[in-house]
Amino acid sequence: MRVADPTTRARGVARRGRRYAGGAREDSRYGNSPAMTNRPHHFSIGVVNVSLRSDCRSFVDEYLSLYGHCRRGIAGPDTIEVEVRSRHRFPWRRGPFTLHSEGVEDFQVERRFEVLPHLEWFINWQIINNREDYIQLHASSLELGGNALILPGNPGSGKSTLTAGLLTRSWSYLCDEFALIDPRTLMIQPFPRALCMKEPSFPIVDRLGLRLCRRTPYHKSAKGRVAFLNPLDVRADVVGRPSRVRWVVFPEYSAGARPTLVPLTRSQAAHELARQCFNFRVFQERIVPVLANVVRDADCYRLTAGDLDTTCDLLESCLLRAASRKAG
Amino acid sequence: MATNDTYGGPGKNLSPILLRRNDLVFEELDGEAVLYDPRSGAVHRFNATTLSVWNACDGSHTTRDIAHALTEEGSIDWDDACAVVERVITELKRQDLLQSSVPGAATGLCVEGRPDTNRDSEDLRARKKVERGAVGSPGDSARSRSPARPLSRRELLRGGTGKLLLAAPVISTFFAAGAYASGPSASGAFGDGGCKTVAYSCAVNADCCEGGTRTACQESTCCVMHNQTGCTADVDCCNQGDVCNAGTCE
Repeated sequence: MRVADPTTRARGVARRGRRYAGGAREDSRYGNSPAMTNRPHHFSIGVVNVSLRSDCRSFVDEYLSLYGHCRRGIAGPDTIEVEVRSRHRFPWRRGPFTLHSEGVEDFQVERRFEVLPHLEWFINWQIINNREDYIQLHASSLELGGNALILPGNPGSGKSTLTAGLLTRSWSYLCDEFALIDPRTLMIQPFPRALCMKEPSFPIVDRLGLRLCRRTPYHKSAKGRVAFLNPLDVRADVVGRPSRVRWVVFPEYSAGARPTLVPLTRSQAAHELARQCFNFRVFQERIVPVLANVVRDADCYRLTAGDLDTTCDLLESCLLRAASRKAG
Repeated sequence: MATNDTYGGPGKNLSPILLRRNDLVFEELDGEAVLYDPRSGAVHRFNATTLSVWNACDGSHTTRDIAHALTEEGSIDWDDACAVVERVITELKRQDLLQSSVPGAATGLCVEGRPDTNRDSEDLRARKKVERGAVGSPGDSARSRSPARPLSRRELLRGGTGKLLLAAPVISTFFAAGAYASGPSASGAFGDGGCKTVAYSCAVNADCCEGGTRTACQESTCCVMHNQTGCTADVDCCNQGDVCNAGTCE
C-alpha cells in the first residue's frame, strides 16, 4: 500500500483548491497573504461597501479575482456583510452552501459553481433592501464626458452586452445592473461591479477581445450559464464619475434585427423608469417628481438592438449628434 | 360653491361639471404628464390631449365645453370631438381620477348633436359667476401641481386630428409593487392587481403574481415554482433542472 507523503498530499489539495477558484493564481496582485478562513475582507465598490467572509478560501479568492482592486483595510459606511458557509469538511467538492447576512433569511446554493453568481445576486438583493439613500433603477449606466447614459430594461433585453460593447469605445462604466440615483442631486453614482454575461453573449464578448472569468462554468438558475467580466480588464481608468443623466435608452435585443432608435417623449420615459424602480415602495410619492427631473433635460429613446457593432455605431452617432446639436 | 349637478335655470340641459382630484402627485413634461395616485399606488401617463381635458376638469367646464372647443379649432368634426372627450372622461373616471362620479355624464354627448353656440356661451358665463369655493380651483393642495388654467384649443389638438386622437392610448397605467389595488394591466409585465408576471423584475416574492404560492422572486426575476403552472419556457422555472411541460414546471 502506498502511503502518501503528507507534504505532497497537502500541496495536491491546495493545487486542487486553486483549480476550482477561477483566477486565484492572480491573487498575488491583490494581497500579500492568502485569504484566511473566516476573516472579513472589506471591499469598496463605488458607493457600495461589502464585507465578505467564508470558511472556504476559494470563494474569497474568486471574489478577489473580480474585486481585489476594491479591497480596503476597514469596513466602509453602510457595509453589506455577507458570509458564505459550507457544511462539509471539503467545501470545494460539494455543497450545499449557505449565503448568510444578518437580519435576512439565509439562501442555500446546492453546487459549488453556483456560489459566485448567487453571491453577486445576494449582494444586489441587500442593496435593494437596505440602500434607501438611492433610487434604484434596473438599468445599466455609463458615462461619457460627464454625461450619463442609462439603459433600463428587463432581464434579457441586452443591457450588459451593450454595456460591454460601449466600454470598448471609450465610454466609462458606472454599473451593469443598477442606476443608483441620488434623489437630492439627481446624479447617477458608480457601482462598478463585475458585468455578468449570459452564455449567448460569450462569443460576442470574446470577439470584442475582452476576457471573461469563466474557467469554471458558473450557473445562475434562471439565467443558465454565466461568466463575469472584470471592468478593469477593459482598461485601467474605466470607472466613471457621478453624472447627470443625459440620455435614457430602453434597449430590446432581437436576434438579426436591424438596429433602430425611436425617440420617446419624456413622459413616456419617466413612466417606464418608474416601472423599472426596484425600491419604489421606499420612495412612493417622491418617485414621480425625481424621475421627471431626471428626464427633463435628457434625450429619450427606445432601441431595437441587433448586431452589437452596428447597434453601438447607431447609438453613438445619434446620441452624440443630438448632444452637439443642443450644445451648438 | 360649484357642484357637479346641473346648472342654470329651468329648461337648461347642460352636461355636468367635471372636477379632478387634488391629492395626486403630478408632473408635467413637454405638454404631457406623469401622475402618482397615493390611494391606489398607480402611476399614470397622460398624452397631450388627455392632459388638456384633465386641465379642463377644473370645476368650470363641462364635457360639452371641451368638445365644443375641439370643433372650434376646425380640424376635427363634432362626432370625433365627442368621441375623444367621452373616451378620455370615461377613462379618467375608470381610474378614479375625478372628484365625483356622475353616472353617464360622459356618454350620450354626441346624441344631442352640435350644441347651440349662443346658449352655451350664456350658460358658461353664468357658471363662471358661481362662487369659486370648490376644491380644484386655486385652493388646490400642494400635492397636486396641475394648474387650473383656461382651456386652450391648441392644446386640445396637440395630439393630432380626430382619428389620431381616437387611436392613441388615453392613459397608460401601472401599479407600483406594494400597492395592490385592482386595476387594468398596462403591459405584459403586470397582471391583475399590479403584480409582476414571470420573467419580470422583482425585489421580493410579494412583487410577483401569486408570489410565494405559485411564483417566487429569484435573483430579481419572477419565476414559476416547482409543480406550478404559468411557464412558457424552461428558463421561467425557479428550479434549475425543471422543464416547462405544457405550462407546468416539472
